[in-house]
Amino acid sequence: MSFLAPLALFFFISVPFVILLYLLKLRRIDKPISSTLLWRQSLEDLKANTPFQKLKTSLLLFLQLLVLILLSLAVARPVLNAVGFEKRSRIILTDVSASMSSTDVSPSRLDQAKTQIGGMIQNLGSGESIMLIAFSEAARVLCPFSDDRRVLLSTLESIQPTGEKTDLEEAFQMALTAAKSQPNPEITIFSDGGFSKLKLDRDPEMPIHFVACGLRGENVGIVSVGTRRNFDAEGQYQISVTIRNSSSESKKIFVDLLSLPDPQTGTAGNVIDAREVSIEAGKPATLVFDDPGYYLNALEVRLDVQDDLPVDNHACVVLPRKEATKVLIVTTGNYFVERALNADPRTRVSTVPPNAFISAEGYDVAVFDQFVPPRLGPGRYLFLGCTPPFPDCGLEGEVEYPAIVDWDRFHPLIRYLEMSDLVVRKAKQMRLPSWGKVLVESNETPLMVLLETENSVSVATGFDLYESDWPLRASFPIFFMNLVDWFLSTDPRGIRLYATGDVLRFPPSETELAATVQLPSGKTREIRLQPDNPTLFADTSETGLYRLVPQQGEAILYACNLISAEETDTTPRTQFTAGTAEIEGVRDIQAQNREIWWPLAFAALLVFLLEWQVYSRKARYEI
Amino acid sequence: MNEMETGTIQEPLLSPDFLEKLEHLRLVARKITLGTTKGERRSRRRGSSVEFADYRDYVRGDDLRFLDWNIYGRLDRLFIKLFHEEEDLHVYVLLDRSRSMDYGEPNKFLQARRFAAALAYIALMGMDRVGIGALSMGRFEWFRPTRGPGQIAKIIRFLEPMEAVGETHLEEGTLQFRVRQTRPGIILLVSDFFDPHGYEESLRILSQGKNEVFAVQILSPDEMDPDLMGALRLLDLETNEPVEISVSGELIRIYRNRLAAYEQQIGQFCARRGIHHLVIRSDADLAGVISASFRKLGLVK
Repeated sequence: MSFLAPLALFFFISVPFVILLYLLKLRRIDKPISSTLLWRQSLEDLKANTPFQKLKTSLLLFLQLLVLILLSLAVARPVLNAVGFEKRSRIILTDVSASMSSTDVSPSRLDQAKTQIGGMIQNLGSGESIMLIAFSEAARVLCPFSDDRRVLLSTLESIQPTGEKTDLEEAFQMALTAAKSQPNPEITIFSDGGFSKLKLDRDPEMPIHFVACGLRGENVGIVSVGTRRNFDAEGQYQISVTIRNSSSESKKIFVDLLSLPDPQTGTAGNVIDAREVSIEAGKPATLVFDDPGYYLNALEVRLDVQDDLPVDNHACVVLPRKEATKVLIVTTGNYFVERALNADPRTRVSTVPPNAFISAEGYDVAVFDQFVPPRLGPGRYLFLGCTPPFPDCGLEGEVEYPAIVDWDRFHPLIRYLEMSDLVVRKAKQMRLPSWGKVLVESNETPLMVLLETENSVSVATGFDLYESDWPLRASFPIFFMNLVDWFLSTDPRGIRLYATGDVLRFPPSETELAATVQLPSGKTREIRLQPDNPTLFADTSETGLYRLVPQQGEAILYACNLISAEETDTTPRTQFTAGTAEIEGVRDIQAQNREIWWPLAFAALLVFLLEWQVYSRKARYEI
Repeated sequence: MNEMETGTIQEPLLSPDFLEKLEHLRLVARKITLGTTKGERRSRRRGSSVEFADYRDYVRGDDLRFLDWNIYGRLDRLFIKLFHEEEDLHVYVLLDRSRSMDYGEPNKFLQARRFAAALAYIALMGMDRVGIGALSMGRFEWFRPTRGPGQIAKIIRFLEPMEAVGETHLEEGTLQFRVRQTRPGIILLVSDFFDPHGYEESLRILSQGKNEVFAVQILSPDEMDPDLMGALRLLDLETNEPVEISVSGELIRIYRNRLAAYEQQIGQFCARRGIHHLVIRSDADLAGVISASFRKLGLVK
């Protein structure tokens, strides 16, 4: 047993005062008696036996003191079986991941956890401190060790659910680090799972409590969403959605495809398509919607279902740009390349001779045909028969008929392409920096390499197309199509689909530029776009559309969705493994800290009544 | 505090009822009890012979057996033969008249005076001399030894208006008595023996000489068995000294033990000096006590 308000035990000093008052106030009734001789002797005997006889005889005083002691104890708020209520430095890790928004407990898992944490803060004993850490995809120290209840409570109040995934590892590491500097540390984790086994081992001395939030895993959610080109309809896309039913029974639900209200174009959100799908318990289902082709920037997929976790019932999709990819070919004339690039309806090809080339700025992709620009700005480049102007990079000597021995069969550029039958009559010996990646390798020299720098992606071939039969092969136009696709997908301007917690990469602007980011909730963040490098934006804990509005130019949409099978599976975890230790979860940390002031107060009342009874009886005798 | 309220006026010392009982007792005593005792006593007191001492005029009520019929025959006058030993049997009643006696229900002092009167009555009826001393600190009242049944009225007049005054000082009173005592005899010291100066010296003084001493301790029922409750300030009737007590079963038990030990102590002290010790409750039937207790002690049979 311990006391939550041990200061109240100072009320005990009132006990001697009552005794003193009693001694002073004791009204003795005068009684004449023949002789006090024997009484005097008797008293001496009595005092020899019991030193506090005077007090012992007074049942009233005893009862009054009992009332006083009981009340003092009650005011001191004793708790029984106080798990973790010794004097400790508590580190409280709060899971704020998407699944904590589940409403299987009222009002939500996170709110319930906050209530419990609030109780822990209220019960904070003297000399104790609490550190608050919230974690989802990333961990944040909300409040360093503090014993100020008001600060802790207001910090606790500020904890909001995110739409992110769970990563306990970082938070746990943070907690372990913080624990090292504190006496008697203790870690309490409020979570519902959604994280994998921790590699970190716990200090066996340090108590770790795991409060398992949530009751059940009644949830259906979107675990994956993506766009791909519709090969049947030129310039259009398909949206694939994978839905997982993590509840215990099979579900039949409607999946709606909606257009989002777009303030830019003034279009209102409408249901474009709807499908009914039935999903067995614990199974996923994948649906493919066709792009309605209205040149809509963003679409939303919404599940028409009532479940515990609403946040994963919708996902937004930002379709790749509809406007053509601008390609610049710097060449003295290359029929095959121009032909291959023009075959792709998404591209708008410009050709410029090397002596007229000034800059590739403004183009999505630049192709240098046997021409090395003196300087390479940010961008996506293809070098044919030459290499980018990097140090340690160049072509020297000739190789005849190099035999292709290997190629990267998994790289998106040349995936599914048959390269072994390519015949190269003459190639140049290629010198590569150590960070260069070989895509096609011959027995004597790399034939195709990938060179990625911070702001540029270059693909280089070490041979002239006219010195090979590649343009005649089927793999040639596909390569160029892949090239444009892949370049666009690595272009920060191309990627618009993120998971919550991801870092958004805003494209570099021409000059430093102020911009506003509108979050899905309507909040705005001011940022500055940098000219050379992509601007990173990490405040992506909300699900939905993020709108980047630069001071000049068009707004760009980005979609962040909770794309996580772990979060969608809201079945609460009851234990977890840290290193070699199994940590069992408890449902309610407050339940183990029963305050017992009220029985004490009740007992005090009873004793008080008894005291009154004794007093009235005594008065009857004495008066 | 007020002795006027102790009932000495309203309630006669010897009520007719009580006198009747005493008469019965006297009749019993008359059956030679005193005589036998006297004989025993006499044998102890060798030297003081059974000789004829004197004549005196017959007065009504005298025992006819002691009439000198020869004289009557010669002088035609009634004379009573007086014997030495009869003159010698003195009964002294020493009555503690301290304030502590004026306590209890029934009042100890009242009972003590009744007791004294009753004994005097018996003794007077038995032709013994009765002297009464009333003692308290700094005060001694002496009723000179007298004889003859007619004296009882005087004795009652002496006892009836007597008030309890002063502190207990048995030794001092005893010394006063010893100064006045001319002959040895039966001495009854009637007191509660609550003497802060100690009762021992007094009894020792009395037991010296050829006296037959009775220590008669009279206690009221609430002294023997206190019925007290709560927090009290006990005031000594004599000294007004307070003693604060909070009554508990434990304290009452200790008091009883103390009292028993006190009585035992007196009893032991008396036994060692050939003194008869007797405890009388003030609510006891006096006639019964006198007949039973004194028979046990051999004073009456």
